[in-house]
Amino acid sequence: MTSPEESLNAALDAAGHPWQAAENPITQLSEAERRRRLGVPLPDEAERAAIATRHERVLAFHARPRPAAAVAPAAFDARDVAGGNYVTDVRDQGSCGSCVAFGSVSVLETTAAFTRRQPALELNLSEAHLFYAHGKSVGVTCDTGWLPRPALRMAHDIGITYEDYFPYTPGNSGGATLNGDWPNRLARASDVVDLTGKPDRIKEHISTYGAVTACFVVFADFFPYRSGVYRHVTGGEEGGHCVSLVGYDDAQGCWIAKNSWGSGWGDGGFVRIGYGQCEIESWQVVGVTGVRLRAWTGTARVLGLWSDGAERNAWTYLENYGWHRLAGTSDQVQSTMLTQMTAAKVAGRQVNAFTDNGVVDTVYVY
Amino acid sequence: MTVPRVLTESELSLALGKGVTAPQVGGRPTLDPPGAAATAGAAAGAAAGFVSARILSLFTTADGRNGWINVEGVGWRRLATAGDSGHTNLAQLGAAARMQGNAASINIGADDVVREIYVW
Repeated sequence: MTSPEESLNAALDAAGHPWQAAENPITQLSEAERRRRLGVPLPDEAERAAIATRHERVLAFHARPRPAAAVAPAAFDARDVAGGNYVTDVRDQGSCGSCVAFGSVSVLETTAAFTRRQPALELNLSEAHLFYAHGKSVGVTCDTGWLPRPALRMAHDIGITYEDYFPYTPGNSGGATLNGDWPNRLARASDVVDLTGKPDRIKEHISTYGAVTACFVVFADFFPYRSGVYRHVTGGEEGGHCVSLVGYDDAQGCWIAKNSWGSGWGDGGFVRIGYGQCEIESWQVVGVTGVRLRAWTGTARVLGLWSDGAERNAWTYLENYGWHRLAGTSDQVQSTMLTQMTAAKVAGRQVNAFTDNGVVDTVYVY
Repeated sequence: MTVPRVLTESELSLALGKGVTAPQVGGRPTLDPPGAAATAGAAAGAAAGFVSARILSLFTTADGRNGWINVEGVGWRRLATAGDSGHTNLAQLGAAARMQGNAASINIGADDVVREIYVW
């Protein structure tokens, strides 16, 4: 009798070894534990039919040569844009079907850093807030799973606090509670964009804003993925999963995805998935066009000051946060803010600023 | 008997139909600090229309909106006079650049008026 490993090796042999497999922390789990990490409920028959129709169009798109007038570049990787890495660390969802929270938060973190061109922003948002508070309010649990469209909609409508205000543990086994000050430490998505079934627009969005979240069907051979461009070669359907897409490569014909199974899985926690594989472009692909932050910066250096002589239009550049406008609720407020920022700049002192959607509202100079 | 008091300057402006000037919506910075990780804006000092130079001296009188900066290699230039707050902001940035002693990025219009100052 052929073992699963032998079947996989034979299938990879037959396919010309498009990717490599290896034992990893996920393959060592029981079948039930592996499936528990697949937190996107499989669609019903009607939805499957709609996905299949979109999938046919997606495959036809990929079969055509790259359009000469394509807006997006032929390759993009948010982990290396002019030497800057805009993708936050790989995390581990553990034993809970919360992949949608991780895929969505990853999109918010990368979009926030990339749209600001601040690779050292180091935003760390709370998957627990999204899943155990917002998700719970609509009946979501570790067992039910979720979908990225409603998750990112809640990130837009309500916002998500930072990790230190509601730390994540699988099933919230750590018993953390939401810090009551969360409205003052909050990230909110700007426009939520549905890109499902549109590979050209997915590429355009990733290369413009940094990332999208995507759902796909997981087959048994996905668990031992180690490196290369994953294409389904053997094994049955295991469930639905959500990741963030942080890049793509037309030459290799693949998306670059950040998974949430820890850095010990796959290629340092990442996977390259072939275009058109596992309905990854056809099920649910969602992005955001920006992330508004409302929080204290913590200590930061003032690297620049600017004004164009327009009324109440002075700006400060805070290291790792970028340009922020100084509050201009009155001439006096603006003047005091600029005086204090100027003192920090000239004396080389650090500041701690409370910013709301790009405007400095309160400042300490040390 | 209560008599009318002398109107304040802002009340006089209202009485004369000048109204209260609404804050002008300005632009946003397009240059990034030298050496900053960001790549969205142009590199400081290399942007078209900008002079990268030290500010050698400052000048003002008791007249309204009459701050000037002396730009190395350029000479005396008056700061934009569109409004009190904008003029004050530019004066403060000119002073900061003078105190630091390093090159600022300065945009001087065709009318020889200083439009923008970046302090690095």
